[in-house]
Amino acid sequence: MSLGDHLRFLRAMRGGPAFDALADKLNEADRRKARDLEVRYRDTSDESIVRKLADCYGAPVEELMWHRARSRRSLSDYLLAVSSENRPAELRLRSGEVLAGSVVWWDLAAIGLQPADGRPLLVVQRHAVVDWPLAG
Amino acid sequence: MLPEELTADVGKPIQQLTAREARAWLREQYERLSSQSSSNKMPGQSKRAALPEAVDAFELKYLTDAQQAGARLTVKLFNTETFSGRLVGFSPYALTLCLDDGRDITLQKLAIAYYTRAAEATA
Repeated sequence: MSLGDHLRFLRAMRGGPAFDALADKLNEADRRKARDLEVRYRDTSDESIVRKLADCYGAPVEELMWHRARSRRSLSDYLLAVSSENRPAELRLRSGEVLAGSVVWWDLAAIGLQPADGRPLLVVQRHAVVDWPLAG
Repeated sequence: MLPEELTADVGKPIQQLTAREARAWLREQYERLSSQSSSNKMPGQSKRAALPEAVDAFELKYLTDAQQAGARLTVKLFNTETFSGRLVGFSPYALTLCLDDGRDITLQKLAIAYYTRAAEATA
């Protein structure tokens, strides 16, 4: 899961405060970066903003850095690689559940995953995928 | 289009067209081509080429098909809670299911881990 997706989750779990409500810990430029990370999936982060965001959300810096290393592009690269090689994808979800199957499609928000056991297509939300092989 | 086909389509040699007739003919052709190209597009598809992660057309098509078919979905949330029901509505941010007891429930996409057609068993 990318840093932006994880920040969106953390903000939602704290009642979804507006970015302006974080003004006591983030200046205007930092809030703009935080918004870009979440809303536009644009990773403009550096270690300084990651530390400030960790402080904002009461999360360990290491946790945010771990997610920072798992960008949306990295997940796309993995999906493309397994699709090209006709290999099943393995996606670990936030719940700890691991889903495996052939990648039928993917887009901005979701991944169409066809399990090998004949079950119908699973539509996996990108933001629920926290890890995958060779990530980070 | 060959010159003779063009003349037949316009109704006279193009050299004899007035500016107004030429504009009207071009407008007709533009509208014809626009309707042809849009009928081949997926819902929500952009006119410009885009990377898969820049569009949401696949999920949109899946949900559109499911809603039109009156399909039941099984939705699993990230906290492992599961809901099954007929898909009655959706947006980029939420799905609305009609549960078996007749209640409607709207699930925020942020809380959803994955979903599937419920006709067959799910995970």
